[in-house]
Amino acid sequence: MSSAGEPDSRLERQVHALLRSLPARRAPEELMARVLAQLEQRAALPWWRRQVRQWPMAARLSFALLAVACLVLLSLAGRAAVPHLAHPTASMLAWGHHIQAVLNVVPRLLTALLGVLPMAWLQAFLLIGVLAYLFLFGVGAAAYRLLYQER
Amino acid sequence: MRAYQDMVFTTAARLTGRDAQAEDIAQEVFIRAYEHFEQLRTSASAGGWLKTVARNLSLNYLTRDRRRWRSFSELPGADEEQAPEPQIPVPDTHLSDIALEERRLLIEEALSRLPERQRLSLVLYHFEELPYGEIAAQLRVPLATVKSDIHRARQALLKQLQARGICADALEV
Repeated sequence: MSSAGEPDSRLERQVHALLRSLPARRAPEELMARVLAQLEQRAALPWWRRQVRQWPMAARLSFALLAVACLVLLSLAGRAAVPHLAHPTASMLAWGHHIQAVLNVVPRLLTALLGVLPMAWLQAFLLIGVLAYLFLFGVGAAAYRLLYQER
Repeated sequence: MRAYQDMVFTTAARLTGRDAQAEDIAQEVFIRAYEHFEQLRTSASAGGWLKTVARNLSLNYLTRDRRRWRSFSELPGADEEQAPEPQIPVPDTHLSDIALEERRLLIEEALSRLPERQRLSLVLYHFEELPYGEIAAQLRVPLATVKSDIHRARQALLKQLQARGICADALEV
């Protein structure tokens, strides 16, 4: 299998023979019971809680029709709200304006806060934030090394 | 299901190196098999289908797991190459003296002790019989990395086993 030199080939043969001599691992006794229980649990679910591809055909068709109807209604509502823009994307543009207005408030709010709070407070908040981040990162890394990686 | 459960569990256990995850993966494999029951019932390659699904789910699990812990794994000192070798006491035994089950456990244990990427490459090559190129594609690493990982894994595995008194020469065909 390998095209490397003779020692590599010998190593490969040795390891291959060693590994292929291993019998299959025995699956846990409870595996089958777990699978059957899971299947029963899934079968007991009402259709609307299953995956969409497992829904009855009528339900899937109704859902698709409802989705199309919603899109049409949204489009019509957009046109009604912004009549001078007789375009299907009018509703999306209207939403965009609202979002932009909200986003414009955020920097103004931050600027106002920066003006009110003393600089020492801000520096302290920043320092505490950085220290908390480093502490949590360190705890997480230590926990991973000790508890998880060793398993 | 009974006919394939050991094979599916073994595939997942050797790839993930963790029995609990292997059991979860095996469960998911059989649930998927149930969903495709009509196709699989008459298929001659049901075993191959189950094995492939077990392999793919195991690799997906490991990819998700690796992504989740990548920030920690890449801390200085967590490099796989730098990992200290496990200290294994050397027993005064030989292959012929070790019971078959004990030998199997030793090999499985040595396999699970390999760094993850090395173990994956080794298992995909020797058990799943994938060519180097496909392993590289599955693990999304360069071809040369796969080759060197497999070479290192073989050396590390034999070293560990020789330390435990298992002589690979005796098995060579």
